Amino acid sequence: MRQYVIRRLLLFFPTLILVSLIIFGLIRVVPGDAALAMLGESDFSDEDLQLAREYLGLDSPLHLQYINWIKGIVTADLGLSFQDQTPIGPEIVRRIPLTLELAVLTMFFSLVLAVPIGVISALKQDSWVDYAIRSFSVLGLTMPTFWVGTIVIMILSIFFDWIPALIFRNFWEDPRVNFTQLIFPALVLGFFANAVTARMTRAQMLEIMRFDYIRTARAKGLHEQRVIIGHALRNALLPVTTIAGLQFGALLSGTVITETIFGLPGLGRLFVSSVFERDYPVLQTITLLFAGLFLALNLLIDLLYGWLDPRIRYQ
Amino acid sequence: MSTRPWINIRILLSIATVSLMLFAVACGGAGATPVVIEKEVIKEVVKEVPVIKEVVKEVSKEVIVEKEVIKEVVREVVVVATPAAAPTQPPTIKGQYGGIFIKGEGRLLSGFEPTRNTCVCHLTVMNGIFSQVMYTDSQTFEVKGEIATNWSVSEDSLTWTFNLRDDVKFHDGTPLTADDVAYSMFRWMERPNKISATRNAGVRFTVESWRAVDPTTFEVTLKSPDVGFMPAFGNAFAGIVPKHIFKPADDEGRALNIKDWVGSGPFMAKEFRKDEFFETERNPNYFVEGRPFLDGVRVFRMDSVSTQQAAIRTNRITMSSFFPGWTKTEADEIKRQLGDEVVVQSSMPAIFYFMQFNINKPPWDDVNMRRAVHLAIDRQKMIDLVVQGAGEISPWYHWAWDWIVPLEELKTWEGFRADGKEEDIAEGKRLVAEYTGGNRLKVNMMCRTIDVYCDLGELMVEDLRKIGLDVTLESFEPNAGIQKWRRGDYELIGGQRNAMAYDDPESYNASFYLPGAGNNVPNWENAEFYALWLKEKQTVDQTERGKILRQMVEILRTELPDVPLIEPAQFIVWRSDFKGWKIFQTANSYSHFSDVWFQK
Repeated sequence: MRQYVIRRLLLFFPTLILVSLIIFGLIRVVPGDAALAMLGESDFSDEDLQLAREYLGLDSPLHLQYINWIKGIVTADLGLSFQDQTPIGPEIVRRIPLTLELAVLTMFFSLVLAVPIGVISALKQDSWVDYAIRSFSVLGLTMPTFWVGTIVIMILSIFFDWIPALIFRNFWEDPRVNFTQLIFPALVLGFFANAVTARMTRAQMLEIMRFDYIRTARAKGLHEQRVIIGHALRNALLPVTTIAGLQFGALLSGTVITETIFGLPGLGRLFVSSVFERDYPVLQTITLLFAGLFLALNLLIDLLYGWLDPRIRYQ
Repeated sequence: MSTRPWINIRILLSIATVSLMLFAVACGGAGATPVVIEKEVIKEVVKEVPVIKEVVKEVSKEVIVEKEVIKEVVREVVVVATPAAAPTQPPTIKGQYGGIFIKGEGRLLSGFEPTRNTCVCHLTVMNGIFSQVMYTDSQTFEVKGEIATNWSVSEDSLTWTFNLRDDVKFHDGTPLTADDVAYSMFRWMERPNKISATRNAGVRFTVESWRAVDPTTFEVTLKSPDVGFMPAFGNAFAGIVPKHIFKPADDEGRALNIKDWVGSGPFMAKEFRKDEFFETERNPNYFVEGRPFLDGVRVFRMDSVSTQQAAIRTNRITMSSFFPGWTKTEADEIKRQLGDEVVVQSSMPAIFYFMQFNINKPPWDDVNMRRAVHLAIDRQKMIDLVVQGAGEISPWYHWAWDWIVPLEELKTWEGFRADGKEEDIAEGKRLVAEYTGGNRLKVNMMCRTIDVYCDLGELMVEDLRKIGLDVTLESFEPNAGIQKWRRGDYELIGGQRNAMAYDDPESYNASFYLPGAGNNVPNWENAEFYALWLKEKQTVDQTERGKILRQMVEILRTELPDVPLIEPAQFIVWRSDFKGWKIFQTANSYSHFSDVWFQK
């Protein structure tokens, strides 16, 4: 087990180097220009454009640009943003707690709700309860998060004459304000994530409940609760764990629309604005960070498999 | 196995009820009450200003106007003018002190350094930090003095002398002197530290040299007499920066940040959180006595109009976004909900949409084909469908400058007119048929996926089909699209948007129609136009200048290097306890929040 973990950790580095090369190359291959983004819609000449390129260091050879970037990452000096010349490191660090907190809260709402209703839906198959739960799930899947987010904001402002505070507060600064700022976006995101997880749980439970070992467990006289939770659910959770892990990864990187609607300065928002502004250093660094996070999450999920299903052994 | 139906009537009814409830909430649920929007119609007010004018004519020289020698055209008229110079006194306002003005904005700037900044999004904030020697009044387009108490120009119209206030201090307490003005000018002209200073191109066009004569006297010498100098010098990006902070940073090649944004304006930079908010606080030592009234200004990034609406409704913000402004529908909705709690005003901010031809590629190298397109475009339809009726047909220069071409007259011209559109289309069809020999022609049009560019493109595709052009509309991500356009890799670009860099026709010429102008991507040149421009830029008298500009419009109308489409109105909403605010006339107007206050 330990050897397996060490081997997987060692594989991190070549993977990350490969990812860094792909990111660096792709960003420069896609049409667009950071200098153009910097000059915006103003009336500029070719000379202005050249000056902007020199200022951003885009006139130096590509391999030097890459080496400088990697050197910066290794020495923990991530450099300056093209967009506003602010240091990238502190900006990312500032946003990580918000993004993590939002992802954790969302997963909490999603799993706390999705797993029980998925199980209930499977156990009450084709009853009105099942139909209601499935309809609720379909609603979550079909309604885009930006729409649900907008509706939530409208309901809060129209009916309660209230919206969350505009200046974001971290949990350790002001837990109450922090909670009010994150609860609604987390519910909105959780509504979608819950739909996927609930449907997956239901499908798995339906399949597993028909297996022989469930019948055997019942035949042994085990309490139904034990059969469902101890035997069926534990096995049904394997693919659900995979889905939840991927969802968590996606939440870390892809909550930009919800962040925008609720005015939250998270990593997703920084990432998307960097795409539009062609802020190469920020874009490269965040993508690499996301790649690292996904690798770590994958490893964690693989290790969870072993815990959930003792038949799985790592060599 | 269960044989029950998958779904039954109860389930269907439940889903339908929930959907209806959500739909009702989404639609606002209010009745269709007629709404009255307070609309401010902007009109150019021509004021008679005493002007001492001497006209020296050199008519004996022959003017040879040929395309090859356009830059050799001999100056025919030299105008010597001394504009009325009077110190600008703050208006007497009985405002109330206190309160933080909070604004939602669709885009949060990455910085407020006047030379590096290229966006008009937060001029009110940047102008609040950095005072200027001169500024252009956002209501009347008059160039007025801010730090300058008075100014004069030499008899040959080449040397301008500005006398500065001696009581102006930067936010760090250092006195502002002519040396700081000279260093600011140096940054626009010489662009140290690889500064682009794109918004100060107008100054670079006209200025030959500059110097600080003494701590309160600043002098500028022009390359030639130029009526565009003062509007360019008074443009909203001409903030004066402290030499003692900016020069060391420029010398080191160091990027400037919030600690360096030290100006002399009514507000001081306080806190900046990227993508989140920017905050300024009252400058207690502001040189205008009794100002500002507000304790501070805070601008939040709010991309979503729905969020802005919710924030105005709950009094979290005072004012909606300038950039982009709201549409008529969005403004109508909040007015209907909040009534007298909010004020809604609209303006035509001189941000206009146009279409440009690549005149270096067939068929657009043929002026008849360009004319055919101009004739076919239904601008009124664009106004009705794309901007919900809130807009105007765009001329080649700002529509409010009726001293060039009155808007009402423009609306009778071919291509622009609503009455007679059928005739225009028939003529357009004939021109295309003449070019193609009666066949239909396939052409490509690009648009960038931003704002309403592609919506306008779609309408143009429909219009051009009527005259025998089958247009393929290709959409591009904004940055990729602008790169493609600037490379000249396009045939037609539809629904492009632009604004003046400063409030003067010279800005349009410098941006679009002169050789080497930034937006003159296909490098359109016309010797007659250039000769007229040389004459126009030296003509102070507005009526005379208007006549020359009209001749230039006639050339543009005939040559059609581009086709102006429409100017949308933008709507701005604010809480009604916020007083003293006047909506600016153009997006690039100089304005700040020193004269506004909250009524308690």
